[in-house]
Amino acid sequence: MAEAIQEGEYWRWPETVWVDESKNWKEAEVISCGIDLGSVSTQAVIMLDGELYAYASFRTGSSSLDSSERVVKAVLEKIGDLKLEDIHYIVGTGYGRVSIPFAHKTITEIACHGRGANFLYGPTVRTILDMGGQDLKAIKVDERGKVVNFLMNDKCAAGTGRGVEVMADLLAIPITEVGPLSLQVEEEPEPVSTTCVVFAKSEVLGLMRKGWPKERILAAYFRAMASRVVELLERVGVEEDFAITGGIAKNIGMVKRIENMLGVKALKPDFDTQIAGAVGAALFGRALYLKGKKKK
Amino acid sequence: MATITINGDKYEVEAGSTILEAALENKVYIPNLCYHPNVSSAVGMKPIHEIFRGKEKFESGNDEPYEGCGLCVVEVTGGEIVKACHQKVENGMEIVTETDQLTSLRQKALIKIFSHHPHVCITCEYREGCDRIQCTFGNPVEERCCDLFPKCELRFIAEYVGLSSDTPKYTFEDLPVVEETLYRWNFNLCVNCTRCVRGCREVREATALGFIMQDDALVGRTGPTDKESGCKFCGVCVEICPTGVVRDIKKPPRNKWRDSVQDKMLAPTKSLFELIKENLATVPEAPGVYRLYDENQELIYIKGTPDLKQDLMEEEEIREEAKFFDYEEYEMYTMRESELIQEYLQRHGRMPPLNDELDDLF
Repeated sequence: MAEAIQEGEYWRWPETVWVDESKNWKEAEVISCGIDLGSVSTQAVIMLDGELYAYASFRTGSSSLDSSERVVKAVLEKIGDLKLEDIHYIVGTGYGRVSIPFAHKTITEIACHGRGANFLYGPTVRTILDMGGQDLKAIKVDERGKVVNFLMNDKCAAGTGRGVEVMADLLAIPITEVGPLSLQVEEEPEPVSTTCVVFAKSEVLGLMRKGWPKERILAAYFRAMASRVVELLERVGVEEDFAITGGIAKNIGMVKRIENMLGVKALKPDFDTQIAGAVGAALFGRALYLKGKKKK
Repeated sequence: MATITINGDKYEVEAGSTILEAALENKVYIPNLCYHPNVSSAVGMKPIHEIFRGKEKFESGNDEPYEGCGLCVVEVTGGEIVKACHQKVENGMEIVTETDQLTSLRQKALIKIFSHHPHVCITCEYREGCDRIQCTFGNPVEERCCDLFPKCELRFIAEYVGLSSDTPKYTFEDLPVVEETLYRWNFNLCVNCTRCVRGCREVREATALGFIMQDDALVGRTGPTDKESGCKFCGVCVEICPTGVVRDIKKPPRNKWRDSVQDKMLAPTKSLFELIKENLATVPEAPGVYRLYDENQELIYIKGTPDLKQDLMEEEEIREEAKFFDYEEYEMYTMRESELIQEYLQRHGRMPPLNDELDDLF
């Protein structure tokens, strides 16, 4: 479903729809669905008896309601014959979670991220950094993925996905390429002086005028972002294993820099890191269905 | 025993106790800062001749006693205003703890404190849901609150009393920061309440800390280094300080003195309503966040909802343990819910008990 990049839309990352063709939903006892309606992106995950079956990851539109419908429709279409009514339990999460009319229950994204990361990365995960579109969360969990502490900043988009999008656009480099490109510097430049999206933009314009190559500018910006993130992590205390979720986990330039500054390696994912919240929601959905909790 | 009246309610209290002790014992909050249950009242304490902040020496300008922080003022029979931490109860005494005049006096006392203490985060509208690492308003780090913010006693007092618009901006004064054997002293955060001085003297019976009088009290150590001051490294000062002046550098060893320091009753953050049908009539059918409290007014649940009234009506029906509630209207209530849970977690180190109800879903 990846579309060709249109001119002036370098920030736009590929939208994905995926289904595990080897599984058959008709054989499943419990079909659960998790929808994570975030500020920048929306994911829907469908699980069969607690196993990952299908997901879609789209950009959140101006209407939360349309976004949740669109993403679910896309994943159902990809599966083909599965209907919304066939799903036993739907859990909504994310900031827009209450705008999902077909959800049976809503659960906070913090709980869902913890649970989802535990499933995706295994029970050894203790510290999760969720780098979302417009906020940052450092979450500590126990061996079951239950949240024991978290720290977030939802007041400032510095160091978040939106900041990376702005830089991609400014430098005219597709968002999927900014990470690898930023590593193609012989020596790390000094970080830009601020991660504030607005101020960094003018600082980067200045560097462009000075004739800095793009990879060097990206390196300078990502370094500043990484040190801001590391400060947040150190405040909650990093306990291994450590994992990064959210869109920025796909940015190798950020992941490497965070790892270097922390001196801790992040677990390597073999799936889309943006779906962690929706996976957690789907797992809660299954448990709620089995518990026979009354639908809301 | 003595019988007193506080804000119209009668209480049987210990004769010889102070008004503040009697009130707190009965869960009536009176703003206070320099008071601490482990030590005697600050009022009338005599200064010493010299103190040190690191190598820097300060000498007393006069021998006037310290008069206390001035926050615990109350009105007693006859309209006289007294310091509740100092004035003893008398049989038949009638005490009023909240009047406009008292609020104004307390605000004046806070102006004095906050002129020399960072407070930009306390008055910031974004204070919840902020990690205080990146400041949206670009306030320099030295002017922001320290990492004890979620539990800060001073902050709860300020929120309770309300800061006057005359409170000046704090400017960083670059006072000494001393890091030695076990503790780090950051005098930029000191409000000179003398609690550590009394803790050192009365709890540990040492004389490592003292204060002098210049225009006001100035707290410091009695020697240029921890050892020269006669510090016994008990850590009582760390426990008793209402701000973040003195902090452990290493994981603190336990000892009986340190363990004996009690927690203070903090200023209640909001006035609560009893969770009964009559009180729900005034709740708006609007989005927001509500909080539920048990019979001891301990917070048990935080929840955001598109319809406060409907949800609270349901809670009233099903939740037996919830006896009180409060709420705030907030358009982005899912975000607000996360912010308030974060606040709670940082203050208590655990989730509110009913927010943990997902426990059986793992």
